[in-house]
Amino acid sequence: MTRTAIEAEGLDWYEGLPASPAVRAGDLLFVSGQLSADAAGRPLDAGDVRAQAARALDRLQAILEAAGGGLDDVVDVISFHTDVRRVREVLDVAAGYFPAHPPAWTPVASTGSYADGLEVTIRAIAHLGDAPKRCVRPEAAGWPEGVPVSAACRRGDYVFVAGQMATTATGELEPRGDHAAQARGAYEHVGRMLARAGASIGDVLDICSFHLDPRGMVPCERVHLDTWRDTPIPNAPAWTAIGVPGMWVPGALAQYRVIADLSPGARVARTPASIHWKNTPNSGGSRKEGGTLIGIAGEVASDAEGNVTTPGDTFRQARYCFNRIREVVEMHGGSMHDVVEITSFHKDHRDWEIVMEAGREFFDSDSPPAWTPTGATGLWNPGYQHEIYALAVLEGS
Amino acid sequence: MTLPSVARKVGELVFVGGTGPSADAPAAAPPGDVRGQAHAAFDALAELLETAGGDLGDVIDLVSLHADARTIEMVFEVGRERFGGDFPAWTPVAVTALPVPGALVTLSAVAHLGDAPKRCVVPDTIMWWHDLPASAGCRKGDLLFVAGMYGSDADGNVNTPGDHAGQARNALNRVKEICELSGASLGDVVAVTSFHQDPRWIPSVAAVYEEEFFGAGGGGRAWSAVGVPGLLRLGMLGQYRAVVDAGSDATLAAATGAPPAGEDGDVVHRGDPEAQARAAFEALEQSLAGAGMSLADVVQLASFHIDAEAFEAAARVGRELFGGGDAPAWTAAGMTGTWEEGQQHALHALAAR
Repeated sequence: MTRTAIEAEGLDWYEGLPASPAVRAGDLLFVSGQLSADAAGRPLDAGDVRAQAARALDRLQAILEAAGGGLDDVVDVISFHTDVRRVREVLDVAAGYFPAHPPAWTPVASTGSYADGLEVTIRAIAHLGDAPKRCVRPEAAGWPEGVPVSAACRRGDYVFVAGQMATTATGELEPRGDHAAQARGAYEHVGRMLARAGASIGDVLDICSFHLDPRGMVPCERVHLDTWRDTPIPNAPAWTAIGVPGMWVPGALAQYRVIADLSPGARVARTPASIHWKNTPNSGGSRKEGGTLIGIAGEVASDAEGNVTTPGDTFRQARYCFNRIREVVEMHGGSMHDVVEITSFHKDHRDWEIVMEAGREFFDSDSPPAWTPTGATGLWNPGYQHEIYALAVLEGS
Repeated sequence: MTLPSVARKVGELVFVGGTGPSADAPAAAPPGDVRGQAHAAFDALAELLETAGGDLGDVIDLVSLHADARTIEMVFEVGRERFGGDFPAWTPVAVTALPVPGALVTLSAVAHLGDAPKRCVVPDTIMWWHDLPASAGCRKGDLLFVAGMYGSDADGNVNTPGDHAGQARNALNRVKEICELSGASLGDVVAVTSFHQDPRWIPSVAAVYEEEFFGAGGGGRAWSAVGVPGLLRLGMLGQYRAVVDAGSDATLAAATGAPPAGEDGDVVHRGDPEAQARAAFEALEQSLAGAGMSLADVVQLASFHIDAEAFEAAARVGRELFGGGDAPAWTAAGMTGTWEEGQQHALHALAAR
């Protein structure tokens, strides 16, 4: 499997970063968060979220075309918004770009991006293969209407489930105020969407959950452990849980986004001894036995006992996270060269520069991963400054 | 829903709130322009003060709320130009949202129109504040405001990185020092507002606050603690602002209100922003009653909300409650959380007669 960094016009500012605009590995294309900026990375369209969304989507399209594909190949989007009240405006604009077969799209609130004034960042995964693209759009009420958002999207062996919330058939979020019950409801929807796409919970590589208050993650852990209680630890999926400053559907407390791989064989979990959750059904990173895609859990600055390493040291916490990613990918038989995508969540969104600086020593400067940094309100432990979520594709056969 | 820019005058004091972009305009104007919006906010503040018989030079306390911590310096530049010198105690805070989508900054201020001299201090322990358009403490008459203090050394480096309680201790020692330099003492502090980079740290700060500074229960002082996404400099984990009344007769009363715990120990009306807003205002009313005041005496209100839906609910309830009389100068913003998970609102009020 060849791995290629994709370049496109107007994105010169990536040259100074350990990040590529996009990375292709086999049929999959991983695109960094696109936004409204000039070639030097200076923000454009200040105060106009619709224009920003259009420019970000134009960039996404240009990158896809440079890689030999098009917007119709996009299967997964996570968009980050500094004001969730404006998610609908972004989706309105996006509807013109995705007239049919929209991707599994997860809008997420963020405290900030590269620079102030950047209101929306659009990060995507595309599948450039020949297999038909299947979109799951539940006709039952409850899934938001009139937006270019599939609940799940499948192409080839990969299924992406958009951030599921505990919506009822009438689109209400219930029960109000109850994190655990909403997490259960969201997981039930995840299961249904996987089934509609021809996959099962056994195919899930990784789960990303977003929570309105970081403290809301705590009751959700029980739900997570219940959901995976019958899964042997060597076959666990990876989990990344992030606190965010709002949800795009009012009343929602959590949303769950999932990647599944229908490649043959069991799910293989690899969890270094250095990771404190090694004795729970959460892996450091997981893939299918016959697959090449690895979903790597959001790595944090935590020692094997769960203590925060280097409290308050932004650079060294990031370095610690990258070393854990390295361990996980090496345990799967790969190397840092196989890391194709990074989404880094930061308690202080201004930290991204320091974190990218720390990332330099880990990645090949000619072909660094696609990378999207974003601000979060809280991570699992209040002492964690970053949580770094990564995807890798093994070179394999 | 938005909140009108309002000034309330009581005696020689003028309280102003929410001078950021308002919904009267079709959009936050000028869009995406932090400096332009800051100038507009200072224009609105100056105009309200002028109507009350004062000017920007009378401002002794300023709280600026920012959509992004990276814009604080730009608003500082505007403030430096607008104030010229004798800066107020200025507390800048990044928040998760402001009431009007697209709003980048809003201001809340207290001015003293009296003849007494305005006394501005910056202690030597935080020399770096001389580079800011802000005083660490600003006193006029009996009233002293202490700007939000951080755990920092004289050069502005963060003290005890990653240690929230350590930074709190350092910051509260600065509050104490500024009180003393201004001829007051910690005993004169009537209210503390603190901002935290993670709301989960608030309990560890409470131990420092009570055991080392204000005594059990905070000695009856009003203390609001809210989580925010960013402070002035990287690595700063908390910020502590104080309202100090050094007079023998209390001019001001301060009060807080948040949805309390119910009989089962969990927050009341979990998940119901409107019922929680009513509970928060009831708690505020009870807190005011302790000082012999009522909601009608509230002259300035700062409210923090977990999301937009919670803000809308609190604005509706507040308008209803204040409907009959003069509305307070009200500034609202989004927070990442307050004392307990599930509390959707945190109210902080100053009352005066």
